[in-house]
Amino acid sequence: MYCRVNDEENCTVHRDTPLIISVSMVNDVAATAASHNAPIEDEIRRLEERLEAGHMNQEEFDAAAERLRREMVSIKVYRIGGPGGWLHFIKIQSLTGEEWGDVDWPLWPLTHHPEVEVAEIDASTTCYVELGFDPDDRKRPEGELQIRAVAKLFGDETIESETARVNFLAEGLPKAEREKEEVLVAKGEYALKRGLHDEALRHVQAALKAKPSSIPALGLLAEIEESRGNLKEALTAFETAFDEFRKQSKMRDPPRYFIKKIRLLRARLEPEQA
Amino acid sequence: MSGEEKPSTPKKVVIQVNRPGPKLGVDLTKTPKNWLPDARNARLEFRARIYAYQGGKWVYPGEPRKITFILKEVSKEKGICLNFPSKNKSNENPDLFFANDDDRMKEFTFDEDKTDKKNCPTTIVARNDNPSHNYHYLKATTKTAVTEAVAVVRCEDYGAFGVLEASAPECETIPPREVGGQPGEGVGPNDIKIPRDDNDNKIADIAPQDDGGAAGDSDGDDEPEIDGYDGDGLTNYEEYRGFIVKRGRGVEHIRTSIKKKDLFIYDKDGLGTGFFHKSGLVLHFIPKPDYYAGDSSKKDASPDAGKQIINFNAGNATKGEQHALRLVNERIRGCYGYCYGDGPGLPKVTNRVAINKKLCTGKDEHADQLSAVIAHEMGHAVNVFHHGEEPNSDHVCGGKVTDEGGRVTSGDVTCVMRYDNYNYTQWCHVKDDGTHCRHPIPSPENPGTTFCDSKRGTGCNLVSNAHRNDATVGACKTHIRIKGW
Repeated sequence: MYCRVNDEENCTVHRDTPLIISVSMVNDVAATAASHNAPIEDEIRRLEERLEAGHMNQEEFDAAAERLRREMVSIKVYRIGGPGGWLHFIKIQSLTGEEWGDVDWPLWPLTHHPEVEVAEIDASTTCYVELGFDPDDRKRPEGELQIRAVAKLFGDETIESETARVNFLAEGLPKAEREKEEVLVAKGEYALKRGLHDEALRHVQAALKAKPSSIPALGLLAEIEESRGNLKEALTAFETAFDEFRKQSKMRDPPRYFIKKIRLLRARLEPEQA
Repeated sequence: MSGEEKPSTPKKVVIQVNRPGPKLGVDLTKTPKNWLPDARNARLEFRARIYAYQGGKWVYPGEPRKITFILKEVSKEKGICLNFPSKNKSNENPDLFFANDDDRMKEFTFDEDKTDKKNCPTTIVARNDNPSHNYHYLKATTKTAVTEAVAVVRCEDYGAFGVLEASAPECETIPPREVGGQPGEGVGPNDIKIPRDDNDNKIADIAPQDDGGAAGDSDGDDEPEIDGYDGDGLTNYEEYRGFIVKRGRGVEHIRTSIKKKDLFIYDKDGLGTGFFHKSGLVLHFIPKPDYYAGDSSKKDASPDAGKQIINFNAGNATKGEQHALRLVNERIRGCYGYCYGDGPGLPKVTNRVAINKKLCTGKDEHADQLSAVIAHEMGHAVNVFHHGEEPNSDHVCGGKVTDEGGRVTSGDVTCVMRYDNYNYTQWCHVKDDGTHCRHPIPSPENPGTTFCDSKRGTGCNLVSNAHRNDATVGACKTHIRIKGW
């Protein structure tokens, strides 16, 4: 289980900067076990093909498959959740003295994956949640704080993350920092996740004023417009972002996210255009 | 002759008179067959006895003598296994030494301290599981004459090896015996190997990595099977010596398989490995960068020299460096993920596998998108390419941009390396008579969940045998390679 603050293990946040606590739960042991089993499963599939093709009889297949199955290792899957969704089974705690206690901050669920009530953490599924703490919240503490995430799993099993450290500063970001494109984009992304479209738009417009060819800002603008239902504007912004990517990027691979969004938006707009 | 003889010079003759009595011999017990080296303060007892030769056989006890135990040809591997402790904390102290702090060795004097540095790790898997010590003695002698002595050898490496012998004044050496067994017959060296290693490849005979006595520097892992590319970059001895890996919030030591290809991953941000386990590589996770000699400082090229190496403490029977993979969450503009480095290629040219978790878990994304993207990008880090390359110019057919056959959307639609939900709603192939034939690609599509093992088109890429969109590259499983040398 991992707990990160603004994508870091340790971070410093100014008074006017949002804090995003992200928690992810992975099942490494299951991944190792599944990777051990994968070639055995492939071998059993090949046997099934031989059986279907008449190259072996049922008895031979059963014996060979059973021999292979005995080599497989069992995979323990963890479950978390219940009515209301699995993210309610995650608590964020802070350390006061030597005691850990649940924080009483208003934490906003920004995103979570998978979107199910009960999540299974197996070899391939990672459970991930982002919780936001608004910059202007009156409960915002000051000074250094250690925090961690605690998850209550099925069967009353509890797991804890390692500790993350946050240094809450009383002062705001210096003016020069505040006007940086990446800072404005980060604030815009936070506002969008909180559903504050106007605020998000204000930040992204400031970012684009600072750097009109900013790919992250153009991408964010597209997402804001899409969220507001302005599909044409969203499409234009995604297309501009894509063009800028082609001009600026030296990456081998195309920006598949932009391409997918453009394709889907065009498909949605076609009836309107017609 | 002069007739006059010179007086002869008196010659000094030394006659040694042996004390009458039986011939004496000293033997030693063998290493238990099932013993494997363990760096966490593992201790082994070895018993030497003095015998008298009577009636054609060795009879215990013989006359008391001071017994000396000597450890020789002892391994001095860096660290205690291939990836612990970190480079700047590892030493080359002998991996086997006499436990001078052990109560069972109170009646010994010690000699030949071969300590390189006094920085042995005291915590390997659990706190203080390798208690602090200042000496690594290779010689121990009983303070008084005895007919039996027990020496305690301490182990401090998961791949430790060495030879132990016992001697005593005026004693022949008797071939070693099994614990609880009778002394051997006749005379002969009593030295024994630690651990039991009759085939002399420095790997315990009982360990699966011994492979019937194959050379310690063999590397023949053949699962998953890839034509002509056996091996995972870790030799039999290295797989035997093992690694410290993540286990829950703690760590454990593992020895890896010499049959299955092992890949080590540093999952910095808890992304998980998605569908990558379908590659057939056995995945192991390390808890911190220290366990692979640190993150590369370069941003977009192969890792710097000496970084991201899983066998950085290698010594005996190594063939070369083997790289691990770094997996990180990163905001990559417009992309779900990217494999940074000089690849696609081997882990040794992979700087990091970056995944844009935010985009992969967006509200419109398929539930499997994150798992598929992770597997796709990690595929690039183990030498797997796309099913085909993108065209240099659009292939316009029937007024629409289509994907020409054999390109990025071709092949098995369940494979993570194929581009799904891409730019095209149709794929097109040109028939023998020169006419174009278009076929729809569904929208939306489910992301792939596995690695394909053939080029053959499936799903929308298999309309019929005459209308099949086979991959140009494809057969992704057969391209997987990780060996760095």
